[in-house]
Amino acid sequence: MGQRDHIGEFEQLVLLAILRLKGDAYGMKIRREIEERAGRSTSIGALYLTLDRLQTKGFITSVLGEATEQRGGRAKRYFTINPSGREMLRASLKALHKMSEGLAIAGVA
Amino acid sequence: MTFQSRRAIFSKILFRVYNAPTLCWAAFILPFVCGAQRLTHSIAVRVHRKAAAIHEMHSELNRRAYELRSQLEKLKGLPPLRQQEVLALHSALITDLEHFRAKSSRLKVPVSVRAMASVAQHLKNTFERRLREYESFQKLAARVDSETYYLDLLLWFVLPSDFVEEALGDLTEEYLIRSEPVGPSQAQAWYRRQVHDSVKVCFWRKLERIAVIGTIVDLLIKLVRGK
Repeated sequence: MGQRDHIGEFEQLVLLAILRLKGDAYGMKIRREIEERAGRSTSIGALYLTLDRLQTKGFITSVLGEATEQRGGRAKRYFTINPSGREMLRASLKALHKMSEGLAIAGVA
Repeated sequence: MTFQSRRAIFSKILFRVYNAPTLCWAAFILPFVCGAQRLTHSIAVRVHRKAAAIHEMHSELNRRAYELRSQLEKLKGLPPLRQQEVLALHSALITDLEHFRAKSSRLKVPVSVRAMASVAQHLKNTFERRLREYESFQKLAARVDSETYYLDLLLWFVLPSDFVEEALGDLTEEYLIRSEPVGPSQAQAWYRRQVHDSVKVCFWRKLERIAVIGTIVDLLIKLVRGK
């Protein structure tokens, strides 16, 4: 099984955050979304390493947005999920669901 | 000497040291890369021109074969000698058509040229990445009086070069958002934590890459020496 055939837990979280944010998914928003929803504090470096990896695998694409004064004249980079990324996420969540099915783990439906 | 000029001199030295191997490499390799790209381009153009000429001849032969086909239908009314002439011409044309079809199917850009083109493309991408790094460094150096200058410099060094500008922009934006309710000192503490965690993750990643390259070079040397 190659590296392109599966995604890790943090990659799942990043892909889900991109899906949730729809057209407004850029670095800061993705990081905050993961922090607020999953309660997982993450560094900007770890996030961009993961985004870089996902883009190399062809699961996401990115476009440069507008530069603002608030960001020190630097542009935003908006990320969108590709059909292959969506499919990989679906397969990964399905596998997770199958593995946890029927197990009595407190706090998990 | 003001602290801004000290910072600027320090960062310029750091940048030159960081980029020295690339600059040396570029000075020797770049002319070869440009030459290789020109060569592969001219070969590809020649192959395409040949293909276009063959295609033109092929369509001309097709047109003549079509004309002959209409005459073949009228063969019954022609004298026997003329009938034989037209049939011979038709079979010669069909043979020519087959010959050109086989020739055009064999017409491809050589494997060595394709390999050379992909190597040249890879090197070009590397140079473009370095150029992006250089541009982002210039932007960073322009903000030498920023409170987070050295932290940004550290991040610039460890982050993936494709995203370094965006990551620094994200951090700056969140830093400003955070400093409003909690004050600049807490926001700075958050910024330092972010940089510390990012450096921890990205630096190991860089080291891993260097270790992998080192292992490959080591294996190649052993292979060449026949051990």
